[in-house]
Amino acid sequence: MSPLCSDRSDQELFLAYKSPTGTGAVAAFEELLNRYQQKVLNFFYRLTFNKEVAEDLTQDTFTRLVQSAREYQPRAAFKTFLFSLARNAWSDYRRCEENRRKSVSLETKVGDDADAELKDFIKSDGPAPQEIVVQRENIGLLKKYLDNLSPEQRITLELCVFQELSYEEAGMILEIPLGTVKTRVSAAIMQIKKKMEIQINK
Amino acid sequence: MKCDKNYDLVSYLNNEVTTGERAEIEAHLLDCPDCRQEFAALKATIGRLKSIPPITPSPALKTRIMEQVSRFQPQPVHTLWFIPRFSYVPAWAVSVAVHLIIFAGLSIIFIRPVQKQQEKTISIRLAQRVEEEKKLLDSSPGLPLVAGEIKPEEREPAVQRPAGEDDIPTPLPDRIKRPIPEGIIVTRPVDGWKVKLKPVPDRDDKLLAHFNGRSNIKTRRELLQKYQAGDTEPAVKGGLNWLAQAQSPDGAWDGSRYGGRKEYQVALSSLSLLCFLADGHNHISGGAAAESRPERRDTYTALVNRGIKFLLAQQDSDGLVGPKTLNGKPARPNAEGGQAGSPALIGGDPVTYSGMRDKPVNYMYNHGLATLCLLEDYIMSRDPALERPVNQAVSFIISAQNANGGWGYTKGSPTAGDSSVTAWQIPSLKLAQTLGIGGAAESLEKAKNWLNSLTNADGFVGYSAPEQYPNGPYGLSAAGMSGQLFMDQSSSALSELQAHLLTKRLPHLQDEHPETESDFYYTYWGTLSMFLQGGKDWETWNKNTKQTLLKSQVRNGSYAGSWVPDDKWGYFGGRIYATSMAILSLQVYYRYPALTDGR
Ligand SMILES: [Zn+2]
Repeated sequence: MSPLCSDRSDQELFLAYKSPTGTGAVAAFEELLNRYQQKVLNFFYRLTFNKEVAEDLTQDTFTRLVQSAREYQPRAAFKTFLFSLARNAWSDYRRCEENRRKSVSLETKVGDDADAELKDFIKSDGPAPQEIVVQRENIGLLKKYLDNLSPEQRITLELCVFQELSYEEAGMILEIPLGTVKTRVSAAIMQIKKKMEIQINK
Repeated sequence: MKCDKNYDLVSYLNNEVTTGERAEIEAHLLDCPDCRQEFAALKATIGRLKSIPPITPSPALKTRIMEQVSRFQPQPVHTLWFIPRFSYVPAWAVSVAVHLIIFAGLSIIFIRPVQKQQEKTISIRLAQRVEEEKKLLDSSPGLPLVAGEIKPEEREPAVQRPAGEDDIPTPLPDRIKRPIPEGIIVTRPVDGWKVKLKPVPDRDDKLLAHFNGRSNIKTRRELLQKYQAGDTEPAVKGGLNWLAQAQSPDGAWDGSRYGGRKEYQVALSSLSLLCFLADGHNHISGGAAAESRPERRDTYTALVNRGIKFLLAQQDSDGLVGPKTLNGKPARPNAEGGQAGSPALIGGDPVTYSGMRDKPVNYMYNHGLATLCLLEDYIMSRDPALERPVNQAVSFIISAQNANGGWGYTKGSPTAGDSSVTAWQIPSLKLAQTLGIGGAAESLEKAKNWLNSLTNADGFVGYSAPEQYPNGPYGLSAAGMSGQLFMDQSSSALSELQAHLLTKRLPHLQDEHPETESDFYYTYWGTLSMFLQGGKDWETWNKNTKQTLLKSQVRNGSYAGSWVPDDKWGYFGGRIYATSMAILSLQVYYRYPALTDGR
């Protein structure tokens, strides 16, 4: 990786990638991938809590990026463009899942075991066990709170709180008015807060 | 909650309210314990959610993606017109575009029959898009045209300013004693800038002279021995190690990767840099503690160099270091109060997206900390290239001071300013004054008077008025006490009183003392002010706080060396904040001179 790369903005990199005469297109793309891979991966991870699916969808998103490179006009911020693609990947995935679930729902019952989830989590990606003790945070429970949100609330919360996009950017990505973004984020947080309070008072 | 005000505190927390709403909410929070409690609970909720640890991609993922990229190079021949789905264009433009898309899509399919599968996907996607454009055509006739031309303000901003003529990186061979590690760039001093800084450290000035000792291992050993603090150095070393690996290639510390907020990237980068500066490294020489960590010397020099370079690249022509808006784009109009409460913010008028505006940043924390970094690095390196940026950064602090003597979140912010933001400006101003930068002394005098006016008879310091403690009195009092001691470079009856107050609330682990809330802000300011003050109370404080910090450092796993951001302000700063504040607290013994001996 050329040290020069890191001085370029996302947009410059992406334009370098898609430039007809551009040399170093692959290097430019790789730099973009380095910058966004983790963000996109965790976007999907927090929507699915399944690393394998999250990685597939991340790959799908960057494939879409390659495929739509030509269509990108520097009018839109690169990040907004990328997350629009991620959102499309997510919508397509959910549609597929929906269909699949309809066809298998009679045979399988999906387990909902937060404890197993937590164990799995510690084993794979989590911080050191000691850290969990320090935080005394039941990650499995937090995941459940997110799972209980409506899909619309969840993706809006993801964009605005976890990815820290502005409400305006989130509105563009989700193609919804600013006021709707606002309502969704506030409602999602209030709902989770209430659940946490109930949990504490138990 | 008994209060019936019903403010949207979530939007406030996310900085998605107008300046007017913000001022109203902040004023209300000061008065209303119910809403304060609600606010704290919301903050905690988001903080806990964000504590879900991120996963790291498996190495295979990148390989998989790059493989695909190399198979599918962008093809130069055809140009497609992309109408972003989130912009709004008149019907005729959509129709032209749709035809072009169809044409280009066909040309891909029929003219270039390579990479069949990829092409197929594209044609399907194009067909979908045509459908979508058609829908758009039907549903939104007559919306304003988004110009095809890129307006400069709509371009995505560069993360760093491209190097202009003035910033051409050139090494300064006469200053460099050892080969510079790759990637190190030192900026050239700019002709014509009136140098106001003292050219050499003033040996008579204890504060300035002390910076020489930072890179002297003998001095450090003596100081550690004096304060019986040798046991803290391994923790500092581990902390620096963790911070070093968390630096991004562009020199910044991206706090949002570790649970902090993006708008404070400059502040978090500065806090991290301050740790390495305290360890004796500047952007030219590893001076450091060097001798104690020779293996790290060049690495940390390079790290500080990248970090300083990052800060310099963030400085605008007014001297402000860091962006005024989240992405460096113009702030949305309603943020300036002009269209406060406009329907666009509350209800649904999607048309406003076409003139997309950016979120404002509360930049004075960023700027105060960045200025302190530049000053400390200048004092240690004496690199003339820093003279102009340092002067400009200090001038910005002075220009942003309110008439009453305090500072708020931004220059000219509608609120009265607060003791917290103010406390972060004072060390910079003091160093600036010592270096002879014009205006610093007067500015300090005004700040001193304002801090005094906020202090009550018990020694507690209020937020923006006396006896006003939106987040409890201790953190602010510690910050205020540090401010006074740093300005005066001598203790007083007041600081004695305050030192005694702080020993009533020693920083403990929440695990062991559930009644206390862990708070790195308080730990940092308390430790600094108690150290400056010295005496019996400092000994009590030191003994306790050192242990608290050592016990809470993460020892294993990928976060080893860091501190868990499970404190009062972790939501804003995340792990970079917690870790740097803890390290700085453990470096207190040699970071600045104590006031008790000598003077
Ligand atoms: Zn209230």
